[in-house]
Amino acid sequence: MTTPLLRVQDLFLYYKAGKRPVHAVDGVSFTIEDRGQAVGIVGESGSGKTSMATALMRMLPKNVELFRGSIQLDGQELTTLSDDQFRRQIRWKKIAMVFQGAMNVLNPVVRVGEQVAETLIFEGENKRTALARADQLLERVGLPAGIGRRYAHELSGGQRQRVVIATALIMNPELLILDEPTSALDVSIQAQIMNLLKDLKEDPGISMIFITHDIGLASDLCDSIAVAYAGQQVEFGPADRVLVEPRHPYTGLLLSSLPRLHDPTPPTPMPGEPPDLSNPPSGCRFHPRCPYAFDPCPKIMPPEYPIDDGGHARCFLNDQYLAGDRYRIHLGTAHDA
Amino acid sequence: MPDNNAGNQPPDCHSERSEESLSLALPYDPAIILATPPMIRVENASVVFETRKGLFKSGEVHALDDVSIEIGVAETLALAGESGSGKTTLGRLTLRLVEPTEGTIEFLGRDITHLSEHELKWFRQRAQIVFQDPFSSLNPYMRVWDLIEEPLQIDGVKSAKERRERANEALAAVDLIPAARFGSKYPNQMSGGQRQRVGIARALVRNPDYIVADEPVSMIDASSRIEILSLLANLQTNRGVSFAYITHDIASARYFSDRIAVMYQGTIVETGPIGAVIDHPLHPYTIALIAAIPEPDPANRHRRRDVVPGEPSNAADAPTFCPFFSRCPRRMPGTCDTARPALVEIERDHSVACFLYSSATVEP
Repeated sequence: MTTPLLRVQDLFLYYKAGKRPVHAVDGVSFTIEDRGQAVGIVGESGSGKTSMATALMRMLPKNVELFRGSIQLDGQELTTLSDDQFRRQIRWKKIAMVFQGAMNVLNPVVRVGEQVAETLIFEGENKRTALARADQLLERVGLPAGIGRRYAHELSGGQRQRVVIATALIMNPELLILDEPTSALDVSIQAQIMNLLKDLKEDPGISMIFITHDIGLASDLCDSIAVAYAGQQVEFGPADRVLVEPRHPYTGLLLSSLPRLHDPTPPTPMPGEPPDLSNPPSGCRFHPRCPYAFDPCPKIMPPEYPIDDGGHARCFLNDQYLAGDRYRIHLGTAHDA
Repeated sequence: MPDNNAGNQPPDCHSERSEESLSLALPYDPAIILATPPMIRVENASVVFETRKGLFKSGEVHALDDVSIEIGVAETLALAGESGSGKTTLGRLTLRLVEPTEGTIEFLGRDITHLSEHELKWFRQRAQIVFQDPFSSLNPYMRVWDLIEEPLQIDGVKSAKERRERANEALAAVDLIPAARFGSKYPNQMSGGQRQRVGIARALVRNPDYIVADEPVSMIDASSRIEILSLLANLQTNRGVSFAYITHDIASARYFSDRIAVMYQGTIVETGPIGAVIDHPLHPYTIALIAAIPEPDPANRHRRRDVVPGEPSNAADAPTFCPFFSRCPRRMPGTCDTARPALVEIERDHSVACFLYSSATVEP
C-alpha cells in the first residue's frame, strides 16, 4: 500500500472564548490518496471548515486552547515540526492556501505581478527571474500577457481571483487549500474558475482541499467529499457514493435543499439553525435538526462507522444492531425518483 | 392578510386585487388582462449615468437601454444576469430609486415617472426593497425590534404599542418565532439566514404590494437559501405581493418566479415563462448561464463546463450591434456585428433578441 498524499487523523482545534472553549475542529479525519485529487469540505457557516484549513496551514490565532492530532503529508508528520521548520519547509512551499475574499484585499498600490512574485523574492530569488516566473504563472491561470504590470483595481473580479490563485502557486506547492474561492463571483465567472481548477488538478497535478457551503459546487471538482457539521466530520467518502447514496441524514438534507434546474419539485428546506459551538448539543450534534433521530441519538455521540469504500459516517443508522429496521435506510434526496 | 394597515392605503387597492384574482383564474382572457393594470409597467426605459473622467471630461454609462417589463399582481419576475447587466438598476428603477433618462414607469396603472418625492409618499409605503447583504444592511447598534419599527416611525405611526404589535406580526410572518426572543437581539447575534429574515420583516411591516428582492440569498449558505425563497414565495401566495427577484442564479429562480428576463449589458436578451426559458433557452447567453450552474452530480468533475470566455465589457457605450457579439459562441460575423437584434416573440410569450431566430433589428 502506498502512503497517501495527505492523511489527517483525529485533528482537534479548540479556541478559548469566555467560559467554554469553542470546539471548532473536533476529531476530524480524512485522506487524499493520490496526487492531483481533490477533497471537498462541505458545511454551513460555523461548521469549522475554515478553522480546519488554518490548522493545516498552522496559521492559528492566539486564543488556541487545544491543537492536537496527526497531519501527514507524503508520509511526513507535520504536527511535530517546530514553527520555524514548518515555515521554512511547508507553508507556501508544500501547502498553499487561497483565502476567502483574498481577491478583495490585493494591495492596491503594488502591481499584481510583483504581488505574485513576492514570496519568491522573499525567499531570495533574483527579482527579474521571480517576475518572469510570475508572468508565466499569470498566463497559466488564463490571464492575458502583460497583466502583471497592471494594478488590482484595473482587473475584474474573475481576473483578481486568478491572480490570487497564481500567488498561491508561486512556490509549486503539492497541496492547495481553497476557501470558498468563488463565493463573490457570478455563476458564469465561477464556472470559468472551476474549469481552471480542473486543469490545475491534471497539470501540474496539484492536490486540492476545496472548502464550500455548496455541495453542488464541490461535485464540480472533488473526488471525495467530507461533510462538516458543528466542528465534526459527519460523513466522508468518494464523491461517486456520497452524492448519490449519502449515509448521514445531514448530507441527504444538504443535497435535497438545493434547487435543481430541470425539476420543478420544490427543494426541502434544511430544518433548524446551526448549533452553538461553545455549547454543542448532547449525543449526536445533529439530532435536534434530524428528521431520522431515534432513541440513542440525544444520549450517545455516534462513533465514525466505517463504510466499505474507505469512508465513514457518524450516524447510528449505520449500526445494524442499534438501528434495527432503520439500518441503512435510504437517505435519498427529494430529487430522486 | 391583517387589515390593520387599511387606513394607510388608497381605497382602490383592494378592489383591484379582487379583480386580479379573477384574471389569475383565467390567465388568457385578454379582456380581463386589459382591464386590470399590472403592478409595475416599465416602458422603453433608458438610464444613462454620467461619469467623471478626469477634471473636466465627463463620460456616459448606459446602464439600461430601451427596456420594457411588466410585473402582474401577485407575480414574480426574475431579473437574471451577471454583474453589470443592469438588473439592479432596473429593479431600483421600478422603485423610482433611479431616475430614467427616457421612458415611463407605472405602478398599478398610475404614471410615477415624474412624481416628486412628496407625491411619491404613498408609493414608498407600498413598494419595498430587500437588500443583498444581510451583514451590512442592518444597523449593528439597533435591536431587531427597532430596526423593524423604524419604517413605521417614519410613516408616523405614533403609538408605540401599535408599532410593536406590527413588528411582532412581521417577525411572525418571517418565522422568527417567538417574536419576543428575536426582537430583543442585535443583528450580530443571529445567523445570516435569520438576519435576512429581519431584512424581509423590515420590508413587510408596511404591508407592501410590491417588493424588489435584490439577490436576497446570494450571501447565504446554499442549504439555507431555499428557506428564504420559500418564505418569499409564501408571502406571494398568502398576501398577493408582487416581486422583482434579482439574481445571477437561474436555478433558484425556478422556485420563486413566474417569468424571467435575462439581461445583458443593459438590455433584455430573452424573456418568457420561467419553465420555458430554463427548459428551452434560446439566446446563447441564457444557454451559457444555465450551463454554468453546478448541480450535485459525481460526473461533473470529469467534464469541463461550456463557459463563455471573458467577462462583459463595460457598458460605457451603447453598442450599435449585438452586445454579446464578442463572447458569443454562435456569432455570425457580418450579421451580428452590423446591427442590433430586436426582442421578438418566437414562441408563445417567449421572446429573444438574437439573429439566430429573427432578422428584426432595433431601429437606430
